Amino acid sequence: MTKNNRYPDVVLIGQPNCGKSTLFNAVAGLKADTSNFPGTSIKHTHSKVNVEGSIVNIIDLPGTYSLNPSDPAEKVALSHLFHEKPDLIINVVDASILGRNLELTLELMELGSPMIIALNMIDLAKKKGVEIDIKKLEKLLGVPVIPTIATRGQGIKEMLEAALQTLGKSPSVTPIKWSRDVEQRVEKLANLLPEDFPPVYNKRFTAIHMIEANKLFFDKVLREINPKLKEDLDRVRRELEDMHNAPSYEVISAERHHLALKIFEESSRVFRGKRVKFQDRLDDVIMHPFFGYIILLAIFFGFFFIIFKIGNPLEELLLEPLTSLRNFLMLKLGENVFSYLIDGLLAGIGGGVAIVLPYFVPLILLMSFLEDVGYLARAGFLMDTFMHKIGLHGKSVSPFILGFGCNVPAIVSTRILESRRDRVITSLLIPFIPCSARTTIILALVAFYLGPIWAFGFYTFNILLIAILGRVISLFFRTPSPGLILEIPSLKMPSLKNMLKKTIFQMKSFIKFAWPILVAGSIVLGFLQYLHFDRIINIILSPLVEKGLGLPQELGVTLVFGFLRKELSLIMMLQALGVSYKDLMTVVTKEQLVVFTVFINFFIPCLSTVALLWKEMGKRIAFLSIGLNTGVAVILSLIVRLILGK
Amino acid sequence: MGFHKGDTIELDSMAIFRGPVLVRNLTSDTSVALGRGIAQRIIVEIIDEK
Ligand SMILES: Nc1nc2c(ncn2[C@@H]2O[C@H](COP(=O)(O)OP(=O)(O)OP(=O)(O)O)[C@@H](O)[C@H]2O)c(=O)[nH]1
Ligand SMILES: [Mg+2]
Repeated sequence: MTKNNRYPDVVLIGQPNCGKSTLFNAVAGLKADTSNFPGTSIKHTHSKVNVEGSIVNIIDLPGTYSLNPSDPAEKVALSHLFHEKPDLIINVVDASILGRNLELTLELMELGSPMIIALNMIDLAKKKGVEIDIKKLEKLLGVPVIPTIATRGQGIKEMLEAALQTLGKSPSVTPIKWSRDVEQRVEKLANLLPEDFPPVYNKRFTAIHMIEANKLFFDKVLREINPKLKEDLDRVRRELEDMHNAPSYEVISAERHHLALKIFEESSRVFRGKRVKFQDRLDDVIMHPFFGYIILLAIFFGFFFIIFKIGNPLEELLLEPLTSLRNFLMLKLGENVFSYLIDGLLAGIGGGVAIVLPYFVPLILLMSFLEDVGYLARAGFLMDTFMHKIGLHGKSVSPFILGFGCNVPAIVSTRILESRRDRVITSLLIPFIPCSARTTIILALVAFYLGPIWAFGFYTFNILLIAILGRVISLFFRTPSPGLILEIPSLKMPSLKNMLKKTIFQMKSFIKFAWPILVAGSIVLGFLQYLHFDRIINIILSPLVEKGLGLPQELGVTLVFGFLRKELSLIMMLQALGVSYKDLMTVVTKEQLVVFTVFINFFIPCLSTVALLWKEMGKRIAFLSIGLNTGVAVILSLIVRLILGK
Repeated sequence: MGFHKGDTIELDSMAIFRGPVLVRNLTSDTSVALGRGIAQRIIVEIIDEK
């Protein structure tokens, strides 16, 4: 990250959702998260790559609409641009909305730094009936343009070659001039900048951004440090305003807008095809105020059903040999410390493979399908109404949706919320969102033993609970929340390759981070059982577990371990009860199963989530969250026990 | 987010219960979901197509 490494820095910059991270992954191997949802990347990811013998440091940044940032993720992009001064900018452009993307291109060119353009998504542009004359575009902009299709890896090689060439020569980019009258004013201000005034990139760029600057703060500082310059700036702004009858910053952005549209029109031809009409019609239905919600429900239900239909037989198939192996070893080894340890080891390894993966893999696969099609943003649009009803900012939609995958990145992404109030409420609610680990548990326990309808009901109830909690928490914060602004990306046909890649990526991280914890946890439990130490924990917890929740005493220890990793509770449950997965229902009743699931589902999500909450939001919020989750878990499972009788 | 004075926009969908509206910008060919509060602050001139 620091400048003193010898390798040149190459940054990928572009508007949200134009395919930067996909390009980055195509170059650097799978490292960054991608999704058809603007605002997927929230921090920068970097990687050293060897391009034909020369090593460069490639950096993927969050998307930004312009160089005047509004949300914190956009600021990440900019602070990088200003502090690290990259050696080469690769401006990633979404060819299917070229007109708007060029506005950022023009702004980047104002920097005057070496730059090339990756004209991405040309496949989509073609489908939309937009034909771009690359040579013409190159000539109009004066910057190399390389067409790419990031999802298929097309044009990557050419892009890297162009990058190397440009790096070698380091030619500066000449910004395209605006209309004469505006250009004259900018130039005038640039020349008025005192010699000792520190220019950012170059004088013209500095002058432009002074005119555009967020007025109050900047102006106040400038008045303090250089009153003469402040007067000049005001004069230039006033001249621009008088000429165009609009605020000066608007005059500048209108200049870019018109120039971008002009370049777009001169370099492309648009044939409006049937496909576009079809897509529009599809969107009309998906986002229809009535049918939209029906579809949302159907997708939600189908999602469960499919995962269950794939996971269930797979699980049974995989469990069979595991159970026999364990029984066989038990007989062979007899009762000693080894047999306990080995049984724990097998439970951990086997549980990961046979119980978790059969649900986890189809879940991730389907999730990445929904992500890449672009459905999530649409679901966000539909859900926004309810988000407001529970007192949340519309922008919270994206962290929430991320939370269904994993709570950890969801909490990081609350950074996009400007106000502390929204961040606090959203971060407190995220731990209640059933992440993929918990969805797996719901499927493996509730759906497996009681049927998929029960699992669906459980999930719906979970979401309802989040709504109620949100409502209650926001009662403590009285300020109304501002509205949603969320770009809805075009629907895209997901590529199977990409979906598989993402799934493998997730699986790898499961195997690398979660599985060792599962295995270690199970071995520790085996050891504790051998020492009969687990009984002590169970006895201490028995007032809650046995008296309160009406569960077998042996489950106490699993609840304690569960906070390391959710799946651990599931695997340990069987180990603690000393039964195989198939025979579970012989030792617990349906009611107990539901109570147990409710408890582990609402209890603190996992160690990583709490640690991250602590880091991001502070100690107080982390403890508040732990308290809230524990409280809700206890109260709810008590209520469920009462309702289900006994 | 790419809305400029003079762009042509189209109202595509409204969510229930005073939820957000879906605004399509025909000039840049993009869609944005806007909360009502924000959408109300956009001044439009109606152009009839049909
Ligand atoms: N058809 C098509 N889809 C693409 C192409 N490049 C990327 N995509 C898809 O576009 C979506 C967005 O890609 P990302 O790489 O996440 O975009 P990003 O620019 O990193 O987005 P942010 O991080 O949100 O700013 C993903 O669903 C990709 O699969 C392409 O060349 N053609
Ligand atoms: Mg990204």
